[in-house]
Amino acid sequence: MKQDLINVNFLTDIISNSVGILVLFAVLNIVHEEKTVYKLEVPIEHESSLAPAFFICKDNAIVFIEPETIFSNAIIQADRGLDNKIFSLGYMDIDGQIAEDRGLVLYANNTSLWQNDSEIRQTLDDKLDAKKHFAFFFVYDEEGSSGFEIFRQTRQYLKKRQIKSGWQPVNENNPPHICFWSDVPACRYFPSYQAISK
Amino acid sequence: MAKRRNKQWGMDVSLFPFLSIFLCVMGVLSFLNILNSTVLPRKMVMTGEVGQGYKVAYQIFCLPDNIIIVPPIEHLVALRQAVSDGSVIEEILQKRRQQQRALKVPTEDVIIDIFKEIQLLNYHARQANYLYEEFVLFGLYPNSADIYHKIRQIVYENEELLGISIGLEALDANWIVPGETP
Repeated sequence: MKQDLINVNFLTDIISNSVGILVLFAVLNIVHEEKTVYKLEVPIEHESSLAPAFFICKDNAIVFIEPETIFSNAIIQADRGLDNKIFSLGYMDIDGQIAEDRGLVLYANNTSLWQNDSEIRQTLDDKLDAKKHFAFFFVYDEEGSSGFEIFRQTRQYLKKRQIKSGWQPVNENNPPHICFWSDVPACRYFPSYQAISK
Repeated sequence: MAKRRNKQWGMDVSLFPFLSIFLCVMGVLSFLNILNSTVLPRKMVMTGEVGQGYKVAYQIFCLPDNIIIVPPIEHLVALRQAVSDGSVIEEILQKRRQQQRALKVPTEDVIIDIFKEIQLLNYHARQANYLYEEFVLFGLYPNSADIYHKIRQIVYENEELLGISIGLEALDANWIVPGETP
Protein backbone atom coordinates (compact mmCIF):
# COMPACT_ATOMS: atom_id res chain seq x y z
CA MET A 1 0.00 0.00 0.00
CA LYS A 2 1.31 3.41 -0.95
CA GLN A 3 2.03 5.64 2.05
CA ASP A 4 1.79 9.46 1.95
CA LEU A 5 5.19 10.86 2.79
CA ILE A 6 6.14 14.46 3.47
CA ASN A 7 9.30 16.36 4.24
CA VAL A 8 9.48 17.29 7.95
CA ASN A 9 10.90 20.77 7.30
CA PHE A 10 8.03 21.61 5.01
CA LEU A 11 5.46 20.46 7.58
CA THR A 12 7.12 22.31 10.48
CA ASP A 13 7.01 25.42 8.33
CA ILE A 14 3.26 25.14 7.74
CA ILE A 15 2.49 24.42 11.40
CA SER A 16 4.65 27.23 12.81
CA ASN A 17 3.24 29.73 10.28
CA SER A 18 -0.37 28.80 10.96
CA VAL A 19 0.04 28.75 14.73
CA GLY A 20 1.91 32.05 14.60
CA ILE A 21 -0.85 33.70 12.55
CA LEU A 22 -3.55 32.43 14.93
CA VAL A 23 -1.66 33.64 18.01
CA LEU A 24 -1.15 37.03 16.34
CA PHE A 25 -4.84 37.15 15.45
CA ALA A 26 -5.82 36.37 19.05
CA VAL A 27 -3.55 39.11 20.43
CA LEU A 28 -4.89 41.65 17.90
CA ASN A 29 -8.42 40.63 18.81
CA ILE A 30 -7.80 41.22 22.53
CA VAL A 31 -6.11 44.59 21.90
CA HIS A 32 -8.98 45.67 19.63
CA GLU A 33 -11.62 44.59 22.17
CA GLU A 34 -9.75 46.50 24.91
CA LYS A 35 -10.02 49.73 22.92
CA THR A 36 -13.57 49.36 21.64
CA VAL A 37 -16.30 51.12 23.59
CA TYR A 38 -19.80 50.07 22.57
CA LYS A 39 -22.53 52.68 22.52
CA LEU A 40 -25.77 51.41 24.01
CA GLU A 41 -28.74 53.52 22.99
CA VAL A 42 -31.28 53.55 25.78
CA PRO A 43 -34.75 55.00 25.21
CA ILE A 44 -36.43 57.29 27.72
CA GLU A 45 -39.72 56.62 29.51
CA HIS A 46 -42.48 58.87 28.26
CA GLU A 47 -46.18 59.54 28.76
CA SER A 48 -48.53 57.79 26.38
CA SER A 49 -52.24 57.51 25.72
CA LEU A 50 -51.76 53.84 24.85
CA ALA A 51 -52.98 51.22 27.31
CA PRO A 52 -50.42 48.86 28.87
CA ALA A 53 -50.64 45.13 28.14
CA PHE A 54 -48.76 43.33 30.90
CA PHE A 55 -46.32 40.45 30.59
CA ILE A 56 -44.15 38.63 33.13
CA CYS A 57 -40.75 37.23 32.10
CA LYS A 58 -39.11 34.61 34.30
CA ASP A 59 -36.77 31.63 33.75
CA ASN A 60 -36.72 32.14 29.99
CA ALA A 61 -40.50 31.89 29.87
CA ILE A 62 -43.09 34.61 29.36
CA VAL A 63 -46.77 34.99 30.13
CA PHE A 64 -49.37 37.47 28.98
CA ILE A 65 -51.54 38.72 31.83
CA GLU A 66 -55.17 38.43 30.72
CA PRO A 67 -56.66 41.42 32.56
CA GLU A 68 -60.26 40.11 32.47
CA THR A 69 -59.37 36.73 33.97
CA ILE A 70 -56.96 38.10 36.54
CA PHE A 71 -59.17 40.90 37.78
CA SER A 72 -62.43 38.94 37.80
CA ASN A 73 -60.72 36.27 39.93
CA ALA A 74 -59.20 38.92 42.17
CA ILE A 75 -62.60 40.59 42.67
CA ILE A 76 -64.14 37.26 43.72
CA GLN A 77 -61.34 36.79 46.27
CA ALA A 78 -61.67 40.38 47.47
CA ASP A 79 -65.40 39.84 48.04
CA ARG A 80 -64.46 36.92 50.28
CA GLY A 81 -62.42 39.32 52.38
CA LEU A 82 -58.99 38.04 51.35
CA ASP A 83 -57.33 41.45 51.33
CA ASN A 84 -53.61 41.18 52.15
CA LYS A 85 -53.73 37.39 51.85
CA ILE A 86 -52.13 35.51 48.99
CA PHE A 87 -54.65 33.55 46.88
CA SER A 88 -54.55 31.62 43.63
CA LEU A 89 -55.66 33.55 40.59
CA GLY A 90 -56.38 30.32 38.72
CA TYR A 91 -54.32 31.58 35.83
CA MET A 92 -50.96 30.23 34.67
CA ASP A 93 -49.94 29.24 38.21
CA ILE A 94 -49.89 32.86 39.35
CA ASP A 95 -50.96 33.87 42.84
CA GLY A 96 -52.32 37.26 43.73
CA GLN A 97 -52.58 39.58 46.70
CA ILE A 98 -54.57 42.76 47.03
CA ALA A 99 -52.51 45.50 48.60
CA GLU A 100 -53.81 48.94 49.42
CA ASP A 101 -50.83 50.82 48.05
CA ARG A 102 -49.87 48.60 45.10
CA GLY A 103 -53.15 47.23 43.75
CA LEU A 104 -53.02 43.62 42.64
CA VAL A 105 -49.65 42.06 43.48
CA LEU A 106 -48.72 39.02 41.37
CA TYR A 107 -46.55 36.10 42.50
CA ALA A 108 -45.19 33.87 39.74
CA ASN A 109 -44.65 30.29 40.89
CA ASN A 110 -44.15 27.59 38.32
CA THR A 111 -43.41 28.80 34.80
CA SER A 112 -43.89 25.44 33.03
CA LEU A 113 -47.28 26.56 31.64
CA TRP A 114 -45.84 29.78 30.25
CA GLN A 115 -44.74 30.37 26.69
CA ASN A 116 -41.29 30.51 25.15
CA ASP A 117 -39.91 33.13 22.78
CA SER A 118 -41.45 31.70 19.60
CA GLU A 119 -44.80 30.75 21.18
CA ILE A 120 -45.41 34.23 22.60
CA ARG A 121 -45.21 35.80 19.13
CA GLN A 122 -48.64 34.48 18.20
CA THR A 123 -50.07 35.94 21.43
CA LEU A 124 -48.42 39.28 20.73
CA ASP A 125 -49.83 39.31 17.21
CA ASP A 126 -53.32 38.44 18.47
CA LYS A 127 -53.55 40.63 21.56
CA LEU A 128 -51.62 43.80 20.78
CA ASP A 129 -52.72 46.58 18.51
CA ALA A 130 -49.98 49.17 17.93
CA LYS A 131 -52.59 51.94 17.88
CA LYS A 132 -54.12 50.96 21.22
CA HIS A 133 -51.51 49.15 23.31
CA PHE A 134 -47.95 49.09 24.44
CA ALA A 135 -46.34 46.09 26.09
CA PHE A 136 -45.14 46.41 29.66
CA PHE A 137 -42.82 43.70 30.94
CA PHE A 138 -42.21 42.71 34.54
CA VAL A 139 -38.80 41.07 34.24
CA TYR A 140 -37.59 38.78 37.01
CA ASP A 141 -34.05 39.54 38.12
CA GLU A 142 -33.11 37.07 40.81
CA GLU A 143 -30.17 34.75 41.49
CA GLY A 144 -30.73 31.77 39.19
CA SER A 145 -34.02 33.10 37.83
CA SER A 146 -33.60 35.75 35.21
CA GLY A 147 -36.04 36.86 32.55
CA PHE A 148 -33.61 39.26 30.84
CA GLU A 149 -32.93 37.09 27.80
CA ILE A 150 -36.51 36.37 26.78
CA PHE A 151 -37.46 39.97 27.53
CA ARG A 152 -34.79 41.25 25.12
CA GLN A 153 -35.91 38.83 22.39
CA THR A 154 -39.58 39.73 22.79
CA ARG A 155 -38.83 43.44 22.89
CA GLN A 156 -36.86 43.12 19.67
CA TYR A 157 -39.81 41.37 18.03
CA LEU A 158 -42.18 44.12 19.17
CA LYS A 159 -39.84 46.77 17.90
CA LYS A 160 -39.98 45.26 14.43
CA ARG A 161 -43.78 45.24 14.67
CA GLN A 162 -43.77 48.94 15.64
CA ILE A 163 -45.25 48.25 19.08
CA LYS A 164 -43.91 50.29 21.97
CA SER A 165 -42.73 48.65 25.14
CA GLY A 166 -41.61 49.46 28.66
CA TRP A 167 -40.30 47.36 31.53
CA GLN A 168 -39.24 47.16 35.13
CA PRO A 169 -37.16 44.61 37.01
CA VAL A 170 -38.97 42.57 39.66
CA ASN A 171 -37.96 40.05 42.30
CA GLU A 172 -39.23 38.51 45.52
CA ASN A 173 -38.97 41.81 47.41
CA ASN A 174 -40.47 43.84 44.58
CA PRO A 175 -43.03 41.59 42.89
CA PRO A 176 -45.03 42.63 39.82
CA HIS A 177 -48.09 44.68 40.65
CA ILE A 178 -50.89 46.14 38.61
CA CYS A 179 -52.68 49.27 39.69
CA PHE A 180 -54.07 52.20 37.81
CA TRP A 181 -54.09 55.04 40.33
CA SER A 182 -52.62 57.75 38.16
CA ASP A 183 -51.78 59.99 41.13
CA VAL A 184 -49.41 57.34 42.61
CA PRO A 185 -46.07 57.42 40.73
CA ALA A 186 -45.41 53.72 41.36
CA CYS A 187 -48.74 52.90 39.69
CA ARG A 188 -47.89 54.55 36.41
CA TYR A 189 -46.54 52.42 33.58
CA PHE A 190 -44.66 54.09 30.78
CA PRO A 191 -43.43 52.87 27.44
CA SER A 192 -39.87 53.71 26.58
CA TYR A 193 -39.00 51.88 23.40
CA GLN A 194 -40.08 53.95 20.44
CA ALA A 195 -40.55 50.94 18.19
CA ILE A 196 -38.73 52.62 15.34
CA SER A 197 -37.04 49.98 13.27
CA LYS A 198 -33.56 50.99 12.16
CA MET B 1 14.94 13.39 -7.50
CA ALA B 2 12.99 14.45 -4.39
CA LYS B 3 12.84 10.85 -3.21
CA ARG B 4 16.59 10.60 -3.53
CA ARG B 5 17.01 13.82 -1.47
CA ASN B 6 14.66 12.51 1.27
CA LYS B 7 16.58 9.29 1.42
CA GLN B 8 19.79 11.33 1.73
CA TRP B 9 18.30 13.24 4.73
CA GLY B 10 16.77 10.06 6.13
CA MET B 11 13.60 11.94 7.14
CA ASP B 12 10.68 10.23 5.42
CA VAL B 13 7.68 10.55 7.75
CA SER B 14 4.05 9.55 7.66
CA LEU B 15 1.68 12.44 6.86
CA PHE B 16 -1.21 11.40 9.10
CA PRO B 17 0.09 12.06 12.68
CA PHE B 18 1.45 15.46 11.72
CA LEU B 19 -1.76 16.50 10.05
CA SER B 20 -3.84 15.38 13.02
CA ILE B 21 -1.67 17.36 15.46
CA PHE B 22 -1.76 20.32 13.12
CA LEU B 23 -5.57 20.28 12.88
CA CYS B 24 -5.91 19.83 16.66
CA VAL B 25 -3.69 22.85 17.38
CA MET B 26 -5.54 24.95 14.79
CA GLY B 27 -8.89 23.89 16.23
CA VAL B 28 -7.91 24.68 19.83
CA LEU B 29 -6.51 28.08 18.91
CA SER B 30 -9.57 28.98 16.80
CA PHE B 31 -11.79 27.93 19.69
CA LEU B 32 -9.78 30.09 22.11
CA ASN B 33 -10.12 33.02 19.70
CA ILE B 34 -13.89 32.69 19.52
CA LEU B 35 -14.13 32.19 23.28
CA ASN B 36 -12.05 35.31 23.85
CA SER B 37 -14.28 37.45 21.69
CA THR B 38 -17.44 36.32 23.49
CA VAL B 39 -16.21 36.13 27.10
CA LEU B 40 -14.01 39.24 27.21
CA PRO B 41 -15.75 42.07 29.08
CA ARG B 42 -17.16 44.70 26.76
CA LYS B 43 -16.81 48.37 27.56
CA MET B 44 -19.93 50.39 26.93
CA VAL B 45 -21.50 53.77 27.46
CA MET B 46 -25.22 54.43 27.57
CA THR B 47 -26.67 57.24 25.49
CA GLY B 48 -30.23 58.39 24.97
CA GLU B 49 -31.94 56.94 21.93
CA VAL B 50 -33.86 60.11 21.15
CA GLY B 51 -33.17 63.81 21.47
CA GLN B 52 -29.47 63.40 20.86
CA GLY B 53 -27.57 66.60 20.51
CA TYR B 54 -28.56 68.55 23.59
CA LYS B 55 -29.93 65.84 25.88
CA VAL B 56 -27.11 64.38 27.93
CA ALA B 57 -27.19 61.19 29.99
CA TYR B 58 -26.23 60.95 33.65
CA GLN B 59 -25.44 57.22 33.84
CA ILE B 60 -26.19 55.24 36.98
CA PHE B 61 -25.09 51.60 36.92
CA CYS B 62 -26.94 49.50 39.49
CA LEU B 63 -24.97 46.65 41.06
CA PRO B 64 -26.36 44.16 43.62
CA ASP B 65 -25.30 46.37 46.58
CA ASN B 66 -24.00 49.65 45.17
CA ILE B 67 -24.19 52.01 42.25
CA ILE B 68 -21.54 53.39 39.93
CA ILE B 69 -22.23 56.94 38.88
CA VAL B 70 -20.92 58.38 35.62
CA PRO B 71 -21.97 62.03 35.50
CA PRO B 72 -21.51 63.86 32.18
CA ILE B 73 -18.88 66.59 32.19
CA GLU B 74 -17.98 67.21 28.54
CA HIS B 75 -20.63 69.93 27.89
CA LEU B 76 -20.37 71.68 31.25
CA VAL B 77 -17.49 73.97 30.24
CA ALA B 78 -19.62 75.41 27.43
CA LEU B 79 -22.61 75.68 29.77
CA ARG B 80 -20.49 77.53 32.35
CA GLN B 81 -19.66 80.15 29.74
CA ALA B 82 -23.29 80.44 28.62
CA VAL B 83 -24.90 81.08 32.01
CA SER B 84 -24.73 84.35 33.91
CA ASP B 85 -23.47 82.82 37.17
CA GLY B 86 -20.81 80.36 36.09
CA SER B 87 -19.62 79.66 39.62
CA VAL B 88 -22.47 77.21 40.28
CA ILE B 89 -21.62 75.24 37.14
CA GLU B 90 -17.90 75.38 37.97
CA GLU B 91 -18.58 73.95 41.41
CA ILE B 92 -20.59 71.07 39.93
CA LEU B 93 -17.95 70.51 37.25
CA GLN B 94 -15.18 70.18 39.85
CA LYS B 95 -17.28 67.85 41.95
CA ARG B 96 -18.09 65.65 38.96
CA ARG B 97 -14.48 65.44 37.87
CA GLN B 98 -13.67 63.95 41.27
CA GLN B 99 -16.68 61.65 41.23
CA GLN B 100 -16.25 60.10 37.78
CA ARG B 101 -17.08 56.38 37.95
CA ALA B 102 -17.47 56.61 41.72
CA LEU B 103 -18.86 53.61 43.57
CA LYS B 104 -21.58 54.78 45.95
CA VAL B 105 -24.05 53.36 48.39
CA PRO B 106 -27.43 54.69 47.21
CA THR B 107 -28.58 56.34 50.41
CA GLU B 108 -31.40 58.86 50.31
CA ASP B 109 -28.91 61.75 50.61
CA VAL B 110 -26.80 60.49 47.70
CA ILE B 111 -29.80 60.05 45.39
CA ILE B 112 -31.40 63.38 46.35
CA ASP B 113 -28.05 65.07 45.78
CA ILE B 114 -27.69 63.54 42.29
CA PHE B 115 -31.20 64.46 41.18
CA LYS B 116 -31.06 67.98 42.64
CA GLU B 117 -27.77 68.58 40.87
CA ILE B 118 -29.32 67.55 37.56
CA GLN B 119 -32.33 69.79 38.19
CA LEU B 120 -30.03 72.71 39.03
CA LEU B 121 -28.07 72.31 35.81
CA ASN B 122 -31.24 71.98 33.72
CA TYR B 123 -32.67 75.06 35.43
CA HIS B 124 -29.57 77.19 34.72
CA ALA B 125 -29.47 75.97 31.10
CA ARG B 126 -33.14 76.92 30.64
CA GLN B 127 -32.61 80.33 32.24
CA ALA B 128 -29.75 81.02 29.84
CA ASN B 129 -31.74 79.69 26.85
CA TYR B 130 -28.92 77.21 26.36
CA LEU B 131 -29.84 73.90 24.73
CA TYR B 132 -28.78 71.46 27.41
CA GLU B 133 -30.82 68.95 29.35
CA GLU B 134 -29.62 66.13 31.54
CA PHE B 135 -31.59 62.97 32.14
CA VAL B 136 -30.88 59.77 34.05
CA LEU B 137 -30.12 56.43 32.47
CA PHE B 138 -30.10 53.36 34.69
CA GLY B 139 -28.01 50.39 33.63
CA LEU B 140 -29.18 47.33 35.55
CA TYR B 141 -26.69 44.54 36.12
CA PRO B 142 -28.04 41.11 37.17
CA ASN B 143 -29.47 41.00 40.71
CA SER B 144 -29.72 44.77 41.03
CA ALA B 145 -33.52 45.03 41.11
CA ASP B 146 -33.57 45.91 44.83
CA ILE B 147 -31.14 48.80 44.37
CA TYR B 148 -33.09 50.11 41.37
CA HIS B 149 -36.41 50.01 43.24
CA LYS B 150 -34.80 51.68 46.25
CA ILE B 151 -33.66 54.58 44.07
CA ARG B 152 -37.02 54.91 42.31
CA GLN B 153 -38.78 54.83 45.68
CA ILE B 154 -36.60 57.66 46.97
CA VAL B 155 -37.47 59.67 43.85
CA TYR B 156 -41.21 58.92 44.23
CA GLU B 157 -41.15 59.97 47.87
CA ASN B 158 -39.51 63.30 47.08
CA GLU B 159 -41.93 64.94 44.68
CA GLU B 160 -39.54 67.78 43.93
CA LEU B 161 -37.25 65.25 42.23
CA LEU B 162 -39.87 64.12 39.73
CA GLY B 163 -39.76 65.63 36.26
CA ILE B 164 -36.35 64.35 35.21
CA SER B 165 -36.51 61.99 32.23
CA ILE B 166 -35.47 58.43 32.99
CA GLY B 167 -34.44 55.46 30.89
CA LEU B 168 -33.37 51.97 31.92
CA GLU B 169 -31.66 49.05 30.29
CA ALA B 170 -30.83 45.51 31.37
CA LEU B 171 -27.08 44.89 31.18
CA ASP B 172 -25.11 41.66 30.86
CA ALA B 173 -22.57 40.93 33.57
CA ASN B 174 -19.67 41.19 31.10
CA TRP B 175 -20.52 44.72 29.94
CA ILE B 176 -18.33 47.08 31.91
CA VAL B 177 -18.05 50.81 32.42
CA PRO B 178 -14.89 52.19 30.72
CA GLY B 179 -12.18 52.72 33.31
CA GLU B 180 -13.53 50.04 35.62
CA THR B 181 -11.81 46.73 36.20
CA PRO B 182 -14.09 43.80 35.30
